[in-house]
Amino acid sequence: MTDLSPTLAKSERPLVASLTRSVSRLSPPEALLPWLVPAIILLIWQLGSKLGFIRPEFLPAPSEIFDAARRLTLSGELPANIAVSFKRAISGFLVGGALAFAFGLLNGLSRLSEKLTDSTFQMVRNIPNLALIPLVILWFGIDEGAKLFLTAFGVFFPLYINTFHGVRNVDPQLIEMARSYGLSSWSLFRKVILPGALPSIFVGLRYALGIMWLTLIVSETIAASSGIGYMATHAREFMLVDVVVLAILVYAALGKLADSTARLLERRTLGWNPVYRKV
Amino acid sequence: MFGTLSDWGAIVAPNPPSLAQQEPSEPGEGTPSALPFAAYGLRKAFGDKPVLNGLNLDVRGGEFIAIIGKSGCGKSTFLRLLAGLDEADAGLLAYGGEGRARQPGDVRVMFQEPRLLPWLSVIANVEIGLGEGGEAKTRRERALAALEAVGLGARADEWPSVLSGGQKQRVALARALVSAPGILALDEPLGALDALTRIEMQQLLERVWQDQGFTALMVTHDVPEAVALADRIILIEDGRVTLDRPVHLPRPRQRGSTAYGALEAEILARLLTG
Repeated sequence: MTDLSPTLAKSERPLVASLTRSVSRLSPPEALLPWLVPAIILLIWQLGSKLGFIRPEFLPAPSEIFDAARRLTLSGELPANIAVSFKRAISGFLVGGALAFAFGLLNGLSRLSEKLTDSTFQMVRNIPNLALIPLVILWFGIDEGAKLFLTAFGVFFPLYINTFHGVRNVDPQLIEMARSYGLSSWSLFRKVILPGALPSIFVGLRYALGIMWLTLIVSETIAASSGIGYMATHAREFMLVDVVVLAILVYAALGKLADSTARLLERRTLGWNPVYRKV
Repeated sequence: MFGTLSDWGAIVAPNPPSLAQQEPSEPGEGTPSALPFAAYGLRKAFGDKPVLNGLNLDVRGGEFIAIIGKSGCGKSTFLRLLAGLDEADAGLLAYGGEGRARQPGDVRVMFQEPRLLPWLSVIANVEIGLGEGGEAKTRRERALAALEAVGLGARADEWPSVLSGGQKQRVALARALVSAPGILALDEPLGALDALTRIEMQQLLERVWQDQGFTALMVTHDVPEAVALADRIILIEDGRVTLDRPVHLPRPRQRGSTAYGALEAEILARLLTG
């Protein structure tokens, strides 16, 4: 009778094994499923253009956009502009993200720091960052500084709020448990608070990435001399619809890439959570 | 029985546990040393509401104490003071034979909820119980030994989320015991479990207590559970100990035996009339 518990554990093992098997990797046809709808749209678009239902001045056929992509890639214009936009996005994100993460943690952990800075952040947060464009142009011209400022500003708030919220919502029972085992402040942060806040931080991260691209597109379209947004504005002046559409598609692809990266990170770091376990 | 606080250690448990020590020895690695414990005139209030009103209790090293009482009587508060999770307003808590102050690692707590960190593997959760420092290999070995003691050695590298409620509580028990504490404080640890799992856990708890010989103080609202496990049943009413009843039943205890049932009925009647 005393050995009842180990036997129970053994009998439960096959159940767990079968459960993990059933949620194992998707088969290849299933992995292609998310691409089905975009492929169908592309097909209809191409057919519509070739059969003359869609006028090329409004929307060129996908094949023509592909031609434009090839032309601009060979001339080096497209890769150079993508590189410029990508660099702007990353640097704005790093500056805004680092500040947001730091303040989010600080205000989450310290009531004093929260009292000092949080209400200021909440006030500034209500200014739409794109409303600052005229002022930012006056300050920085159409320099890199303007884009960096606007992107960092846009990225800051979603990441700050979610980091702060994540730290504050770590289960106090877990913190009490860790304290009762004499964990140092650093261990408490590393083993309890940070992992506990991570799901919320990721929500902020994905939101911030969306804002990052949005801000960059607008600021590049309005005031820039290089980058994808500039390429689109420039092409519009010469009525190059294919290049305009290409620029939009490049933005979509970059946005998707950023989101997929965030999701991959999310799955790898939050593997403990059944919600994020690979389905 | 209550009020006799001067005769430290004079209360003789009816069934001295096999490994219980009369004198506390130096706490060393892996060598369990049951700590005696005493509370004198313990007071604690939350706001204007007094919860503990001069509570006195004497516990011999290695004893298994069950603390019962109506909800709000102060039994959980007492356990939190004992474990150092809260500070008393007045009174004295004495640990060890010389009645010294509490030292880190003297008391480990098992809560009603398992409180496992969901982002750490089962074994890493148990390693939390070892606190800071120590070689990674030794830590893992000790944690694995503790897991094996609760019958979960095979689940060491899994996430807590795949375990059942009873298994999670067993991991919490391994975490509490991995550092071989002198006192284990249990705050209704089996309250959330179903009846069958609960009886299994009671047997497991009794077995590890007999093997490792720590002092156990368990808050419970379940009278049969108190009768099944305790050397002494303590009733707390209005922040004071109002009943201190030794349990003279041989172990392993036969549930449903006449003596068992009679004691259960007696305690229950006392609890209801009080």
